[in-house]
Amino acid sequence: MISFVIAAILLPFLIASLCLREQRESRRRTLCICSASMCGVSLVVAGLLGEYRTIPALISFDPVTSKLGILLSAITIALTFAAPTRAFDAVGSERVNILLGLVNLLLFTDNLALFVLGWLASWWIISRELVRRDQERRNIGSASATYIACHCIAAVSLFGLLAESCYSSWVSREMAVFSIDALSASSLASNSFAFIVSLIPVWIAFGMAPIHFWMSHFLVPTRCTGSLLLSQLAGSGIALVRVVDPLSSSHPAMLEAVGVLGAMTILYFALVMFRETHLPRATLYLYLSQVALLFITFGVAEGERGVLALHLTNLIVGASGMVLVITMLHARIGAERISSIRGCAHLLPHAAVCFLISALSLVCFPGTLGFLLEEGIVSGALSHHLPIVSVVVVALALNGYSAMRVFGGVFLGPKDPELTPQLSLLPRERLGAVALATIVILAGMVPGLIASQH
Amino acid sequence: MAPLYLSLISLGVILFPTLGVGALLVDRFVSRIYSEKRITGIVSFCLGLSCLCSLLLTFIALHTGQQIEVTVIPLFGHEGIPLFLDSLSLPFVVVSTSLSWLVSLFSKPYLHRESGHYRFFLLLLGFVSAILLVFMSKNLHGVFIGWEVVGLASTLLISFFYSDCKTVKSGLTAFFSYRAADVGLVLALIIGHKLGHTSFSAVGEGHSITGASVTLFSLGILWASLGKSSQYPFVRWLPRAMEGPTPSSAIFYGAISVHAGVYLMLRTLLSVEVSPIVALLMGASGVFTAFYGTLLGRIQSDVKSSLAYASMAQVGLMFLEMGIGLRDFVVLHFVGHAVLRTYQLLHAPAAFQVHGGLERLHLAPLECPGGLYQRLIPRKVQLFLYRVSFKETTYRGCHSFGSLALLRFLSEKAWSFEHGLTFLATEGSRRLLIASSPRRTSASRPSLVAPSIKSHIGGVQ
Repeated sequence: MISFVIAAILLPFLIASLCLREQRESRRRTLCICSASMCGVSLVVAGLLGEYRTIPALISFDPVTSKLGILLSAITIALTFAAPTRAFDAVGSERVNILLGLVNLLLFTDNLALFVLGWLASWWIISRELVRRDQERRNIGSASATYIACHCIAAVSLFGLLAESCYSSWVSREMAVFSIDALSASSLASNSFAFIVSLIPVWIAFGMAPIHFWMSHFLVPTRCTGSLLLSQLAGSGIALVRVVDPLSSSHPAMLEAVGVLGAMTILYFALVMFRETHLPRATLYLYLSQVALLFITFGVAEGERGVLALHLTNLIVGASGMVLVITMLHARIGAERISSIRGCAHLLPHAAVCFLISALSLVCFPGTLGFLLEEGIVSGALSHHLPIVSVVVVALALNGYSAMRVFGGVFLGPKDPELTPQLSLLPRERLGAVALATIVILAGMVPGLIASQH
Repeated sequence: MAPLYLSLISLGVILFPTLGVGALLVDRFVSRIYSEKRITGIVSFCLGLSCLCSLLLTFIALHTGQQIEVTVIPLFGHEGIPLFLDSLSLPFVVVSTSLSWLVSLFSKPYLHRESGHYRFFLLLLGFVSAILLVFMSKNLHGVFIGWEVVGLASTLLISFFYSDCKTVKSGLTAFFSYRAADVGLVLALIIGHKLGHTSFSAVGEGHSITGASVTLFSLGILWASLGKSSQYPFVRWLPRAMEGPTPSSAIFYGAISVHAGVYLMLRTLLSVEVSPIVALLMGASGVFTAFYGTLLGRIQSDVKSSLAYASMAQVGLMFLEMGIGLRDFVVLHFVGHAVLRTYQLLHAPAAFQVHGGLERLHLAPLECPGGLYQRLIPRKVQLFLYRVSFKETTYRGCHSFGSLALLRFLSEKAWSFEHGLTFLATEGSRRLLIASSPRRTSASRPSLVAPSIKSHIGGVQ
């Protein structure tokens, strides 16, 4: 069994190396999907085995992270499979996808140093991709420079965490500080410096205010925008659940501050989105509002740590659906302003449904995956913080209206004369959109699949 | 707990429309040829069965006089949603199921060969399932789920003819009002949780609770009800909502959806002690809306708009009745109003034709009915009232003075701040990177950032 699991994890590396050499696009895509599927299979096996360790003290899978990993693989497959080819340069996008997928495997290691290495590698790949994209768009440095500058701060914090771990290890003569699974029991757990330096990179990588500037350029639609966002999100999410959360238990005042900052952020982004006319940016603010809600839950919800996985799942699925639709629209129309796109529902009904359902999930609408979060809030998770709850409720209401406004602006209205029947969705694009929408609805209708275990 | 057969029948009321939604979705994926007959058949069948179940329940309830407490829907959460039917919810359920069934039959020829035929029936079934959840749910959680889905279905049906920008804007106006009103319901739900009071008790068994938090709770419920029933300050969306197809206008804004607020208030009034402030606000809003609806309804130039204002005025009277404590009378008022208004709205597209037909039959112009208004009110006052009604600018002024203007102002400021800050940060990082990047001269050593930035700077210069 051990050899099977090891093989299942290593096989994607083999397939990926084939993928990187392959020149034909169809075959490259197939190999890419196979590779991601194999990652998924290995993680499913690991998840079924519970807290099984393939190589003791090196790679570990707990129920939360293995579920996130499975979801990550599934969405990577959907995005790779459904990525629009029209108007985008396809060369290299699969390579980026597969490299990110493989690097993200390092996030499942039990060793803090390897974990940090995986994170940095992921940022390096994303930076390179952003530089390439900036050059293509002749918009030099707008995305890459802000991304690199912001993530340099995060990298410094990460090295600070590693340094603190080394120091603690040297002082206490224990190696447990490098084991992620044993973090909560180690001496680092009571160290406020370790908590801050672990929180800063996660805060930046999620794009929380006030260091969220890189995000507005990050979501420029290209063929692998979804994968970049997904990788970024998965990395930060897994870090939040595995590293920051165990270190947070003995710092209630700081957690309270995180919650208050989150409340201010959610209201701010809801207000900005109310006025936004740029489609990718409107999506971005919706996403950031949901991230702020995640941090509010992390900060002030009592006894609701398991909900973090639910938040991340909702973010991953909702944001992926919206970004997929944006890339589809951009590939066909080329415009990004809401005022210059209209009536797309005539020709792209599947994209319209996917966009609507994903957006509704991000604003916690009943019947979608996101509703479980609102249900958690009203059921008392935040009941001791009535001002914060009020802010969250107002912000979610505003976001709901704004999401509907964006949907109405883009998909409803008179038919766009530029949209011809030749530009309708390809079958694989349609399948990807329907799959994502179905995940949102099914998980919302049968939440026990996710919620019961937390 | 009710006997098993009663539970099954009660569950059937809500289950059949929900199964109908599933059947339509499956049909869309499975069948290759779209058949109007099949779609309308599924819808009429499901709604007919639901109507039959509700009538059976009424019959049983009248004979046995017992309250029916039903099973649980295990779909939406761990504990599920308990359903129940009592003397308050039964009239609402019976009216909803029977009118929806009739409207589905009416829509069959009305929407023949319409491009959104499938969409209409899917949304109709979704709406009926959601509104039945509102009426049958035993706690506020179930009400909230149904409430939100009703709002979404309403918005999508207002924007049914979505090629027209005007209908889309009207849908968005309605959705904005719904979202603003939903804030009240969510806050009430949170306060209810703190009070440990989110479950409704049966009629006559109300364990009343009092206190300052209850006033806040009732205010939240009142706010949500005003929004859903288009009472002041949410009076602007209902006339615009008439942009949708006539059958949906009839079922939403004549019969059921517009009365959901009334139901929620009635249901809450039975379980909490309403403070005088809430009763006063409820009555005042009702009176004001009744006057507003009556005045503006008289100057409308199309049938559906005048019916919308008439609906608004009648619902305003219901709120007044609740404010002064005539709760049983409100249920009677609801039944009469819902049935009459549905008939009027379904009849509206043919109203002029029928009027002309009658005139041709009588060979003379028909006399205008009523005349009480002209006889009772002096001429000068009439003219003054007409002038007030026409002055929509006054109204616009009143509304934009409120929270919407503040919201727009705040969002404008936040947007400008955000974009300014993003620009500064982008420029700052770009320059920082240019300053810190090593100067490379060899072409054999590709650089990550510097060449691109250099070329950009070169281009700019």
